[in-house]
Amino acid sequence: MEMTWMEFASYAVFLGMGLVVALIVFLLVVGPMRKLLKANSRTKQARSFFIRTLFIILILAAITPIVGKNLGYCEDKAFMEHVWRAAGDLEDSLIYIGLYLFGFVVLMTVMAAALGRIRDE
Amino acid sequence: MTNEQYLIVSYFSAAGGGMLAAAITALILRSPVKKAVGKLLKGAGRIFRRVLPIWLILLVLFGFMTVSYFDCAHETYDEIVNDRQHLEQVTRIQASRMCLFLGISLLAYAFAMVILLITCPPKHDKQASPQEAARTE
Repeated sequence: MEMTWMEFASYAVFLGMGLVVALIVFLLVVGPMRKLLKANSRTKQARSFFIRTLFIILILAAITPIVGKNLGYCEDKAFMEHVWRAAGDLEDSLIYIGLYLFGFVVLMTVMAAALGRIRDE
Repeated sequence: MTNEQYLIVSYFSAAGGGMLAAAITALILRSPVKKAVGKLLKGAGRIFRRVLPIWLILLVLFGFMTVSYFDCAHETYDEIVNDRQHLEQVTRIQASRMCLFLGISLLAYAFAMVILLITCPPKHDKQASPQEAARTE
């Protein structure tokens, strides 16, 4: 059976929405994170590494659950049924983004607590 | 394309694609890692840089291999090969699992980077700032 146009559209729209959410989260976090990493010379050197890592991790978090979903092959479904199904995929993306972000915030907190006091600039 | 050909092509292209993604990620992070650990102790920095691509590729391959074609409805090779939808679904799960393991391996590497930055002294202790010198005294 072929994948219907509606299924493909809902899949693409919610994959796009997952990526947009990841991008918004990244843009909200990157400014304060840059300031935090400027605290001393040692964290300043690693600034670029942490920013790139955060970006890659958030993109991976957004696509991980959606890529693995069964595309369905379900015909004769109402429009809202496609929306609910795709919203379920987006929900998983949001959970992954949240968990990865939590892990990253814990890392930044540990680093700030250990190195942030040394202001040698 | 027959189902068996699809199985072979999708299996090896999924593994190759995952390894390529890990290698590209390592390439993207190569210069920032070099910059971050360059001024740390020579040996630690070098090991840390060399380990990155190996670590990412190994974890991605591990994620790929955690997915099995066998399940309750597909217990023999013939049952697996005859079900094209199952083959496609398993390939998507493999891709998803590789993305997951790439993310986790990056987070673990960032954690190791934080530990290294906290514990490893800089290469030139003589040029340490007055504040750091005062702290050590």
